[in-house]
Amino acid sequence: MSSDFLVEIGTEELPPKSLLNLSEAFREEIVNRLSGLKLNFGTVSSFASPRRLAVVVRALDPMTPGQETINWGPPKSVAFDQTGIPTRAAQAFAEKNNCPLAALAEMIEHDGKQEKLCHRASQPGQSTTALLGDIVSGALAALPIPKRMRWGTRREEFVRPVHWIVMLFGNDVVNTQIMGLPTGNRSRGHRFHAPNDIVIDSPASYCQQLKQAYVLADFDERRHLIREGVHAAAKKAGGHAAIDDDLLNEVTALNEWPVPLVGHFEARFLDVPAEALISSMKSHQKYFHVLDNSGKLMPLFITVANIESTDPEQVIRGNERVIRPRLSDAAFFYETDRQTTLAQQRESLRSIVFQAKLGSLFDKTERVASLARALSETTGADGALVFRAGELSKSDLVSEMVGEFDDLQGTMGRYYAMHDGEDPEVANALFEQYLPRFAGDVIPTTRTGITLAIADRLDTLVGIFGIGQPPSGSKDPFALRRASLGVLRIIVEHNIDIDLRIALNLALTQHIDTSTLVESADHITKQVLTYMLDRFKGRYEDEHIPAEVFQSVAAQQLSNPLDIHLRVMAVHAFNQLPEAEALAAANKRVSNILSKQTDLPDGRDVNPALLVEPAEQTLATTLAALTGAVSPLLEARDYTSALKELAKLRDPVDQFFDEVMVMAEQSEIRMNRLALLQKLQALFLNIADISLLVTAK
Amino acid sequence: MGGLECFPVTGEITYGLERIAMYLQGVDSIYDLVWTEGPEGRVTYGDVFHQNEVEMSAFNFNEANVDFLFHSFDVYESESQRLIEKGLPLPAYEMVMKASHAFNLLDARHAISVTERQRFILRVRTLARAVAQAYFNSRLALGFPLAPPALANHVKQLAAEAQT
Repeated sequence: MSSDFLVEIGTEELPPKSLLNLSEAFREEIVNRLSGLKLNFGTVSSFASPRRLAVVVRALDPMTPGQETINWGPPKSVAFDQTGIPTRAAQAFAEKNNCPLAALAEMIEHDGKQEKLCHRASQPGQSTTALLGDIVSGALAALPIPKRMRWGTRREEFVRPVHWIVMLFGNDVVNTQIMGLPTGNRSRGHRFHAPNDIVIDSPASYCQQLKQAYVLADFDERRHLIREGVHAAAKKAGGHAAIDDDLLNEVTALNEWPVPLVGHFEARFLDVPAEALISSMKSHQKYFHVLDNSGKLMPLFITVANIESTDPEQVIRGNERVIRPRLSDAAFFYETDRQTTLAQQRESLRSIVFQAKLGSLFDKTERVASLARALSETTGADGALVFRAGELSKSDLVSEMVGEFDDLQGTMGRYYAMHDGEDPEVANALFEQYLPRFAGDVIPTTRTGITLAIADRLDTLVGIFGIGQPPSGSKDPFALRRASLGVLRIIVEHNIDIDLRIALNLALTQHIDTSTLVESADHITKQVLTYMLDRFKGRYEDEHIPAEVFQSVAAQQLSNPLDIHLRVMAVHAFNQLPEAEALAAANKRVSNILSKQTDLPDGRDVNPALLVEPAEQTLATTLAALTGAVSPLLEARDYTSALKELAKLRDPVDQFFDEVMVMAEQSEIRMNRLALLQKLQALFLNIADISLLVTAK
Repeated sequence: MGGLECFPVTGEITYGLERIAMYLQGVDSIYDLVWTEGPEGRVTYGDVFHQNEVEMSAFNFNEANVDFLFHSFDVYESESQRLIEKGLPLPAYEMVMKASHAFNLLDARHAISVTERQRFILRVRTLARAVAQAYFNSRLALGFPLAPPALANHVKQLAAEAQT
């Protein structure tokens, strides 16, 4: 009969940021091992709290299924001589299967073709109980733990010291050793509310019994409770809580018995930028912040205590006492920073190395400012403003505030620029230069911000490639991959008509000391261009656009990302038309035929007088008509409409190949037909190499 | 520790007495802590330490001599290396502490750039590792007199194997 299985690993406080991952991996590793043994089981639940990882498997088979093994041997005619005596082959077979020679005569079976020796053996199933120790040990050893620790006078290693192990199959303890500890049925409740051991009766009662001992072992349940509790507390205080998912997960991983409490800080701290206060509350103290109805920060915080205190006021006061000096620091930094302008701060960038071979951060701001100005005509920005923004772009990195909260880079730059009386466009650009910060983040919206964001990234790209340190699969210390994706997104989403090759060349010319560059300028530009445009691949993959659609455009060796993007979208739309398959095949056929012609000059004119077959005449007229119709569409980069027009070629092309023999004997006619095909190919190649779509079909 | 794997694993608990006293006395500022009730009346933590805090802050953040500290760091570093070569890990360790202090003061003075900072930390760490190894060697030469014999023998054996 199947029974429920419970394993609980009791530990010291687990790392909160990886608790959820560990829990999911533990569950998965156990499930995989059970399935690998062909054991049947019902639902599997995982539990995770600061002091425990647990898994409950419902209705697990008590035994693994028995296995029958069948070994076929030599045919009967080979196994026995004429007198019925086993041959050497039969002896070898008997030895291998460990059976007496005399038994061979009884072991002949028909395999459907002939009679052969056949050995059948059945292995009984194994008791699940006997296997569970290895399953759990194996699962623990496979958990994703970057650095395992040891403790006391023990040799075992785990993410945190292990103190107890509960393992039950049904109501019985699975007696074994895990991490050098004997398994049992004794768990522990909340460290302070229920400090004594508790005996777990059965896997089914685990969760409920822990709840009685002040432990909510179910992560989701706990998270839900915290979310509700924090919202309710904020509402009672007259505001609404801002709950960040990562912070919520972290707080859930810090509590076994969560109790949200509201604390206050002095209103005078609200003069400090809200981002700094929030960063301080969130990263140092794991507090949720509260906004009023107009979205303004309220002088409140919500902390989640891991205890139901008899005197919550004390807990709140303790937290207020801790956050006050933090906020005081932030206020002090803000005040100090504002005594120096960003323009003055910029001087201290001279002593900060950006990259050993690429000079100081000051040097970088010089290059970015000039590059941004050079790009401003293309991006539609004001040259003077982008130059100023470029000069000031890194000054806030040496501010006290960013030194303390590095996630405020750009944010503080904007505040300080406004304080210094810089143009608001410049101030905003200082913040926007870092956008997008991650996949799916917002992108810059002001022309100055857009230009600065592009210039900053292009400068880093050509610089790092230039000194011969392009990123590899695992090593990308300057985040060039993300930088490239950011530039492409900004260009495409803002419809910026920019030739990247020219822009990269401009970026390269800002590096005055070209002696550090290991390659020629052209080579570097080409390398960076290829690297950047390659990022399109991943992007389109995410959008489920087939790889060959991008390939068909990439084959055109373009360097204008917006143009590339428009073509990809057009080819993707074309690829869904009913005519696409036949036309792709035809283009492939055409390109095969043409690639074999060595004596065909490019752009040879078609001579109408030499078109003898009706099908080739039709094709020629359709081609001529479409060339005229498509030309203005191409001019306007309306590739989608252009391809829709070209789809009309399907029938004439099919008919041409059905009825016309291209390689006609008469040379003049043959050359004329090839020239016609050349025209057909060229028409499509104006947009993309459609023949590459064939692989998809 | 110092790049050496420890067995048994060592532990350390550090408490800030002032922080605990603030809770016990229910005060928000460290300077309001009661240091003692003296014959002349109440003496606070502030009475005893505030002037020190002010002067040391002025020194740490504004007055510490940067050139002298850079020079000191270099000297402590080379002294530490020299002492290790003489088989004197304990005074070599003193030099590491002094080098580390010089680095902290330089850092407080914002005298070290971001990239240089990494290099300084690495230099201190390299010294610390060398001291740990030298101390291990000197205890090994004595046969680990304070360790349980079985463990001492095990480590001696491992060290002998590592030699060959």
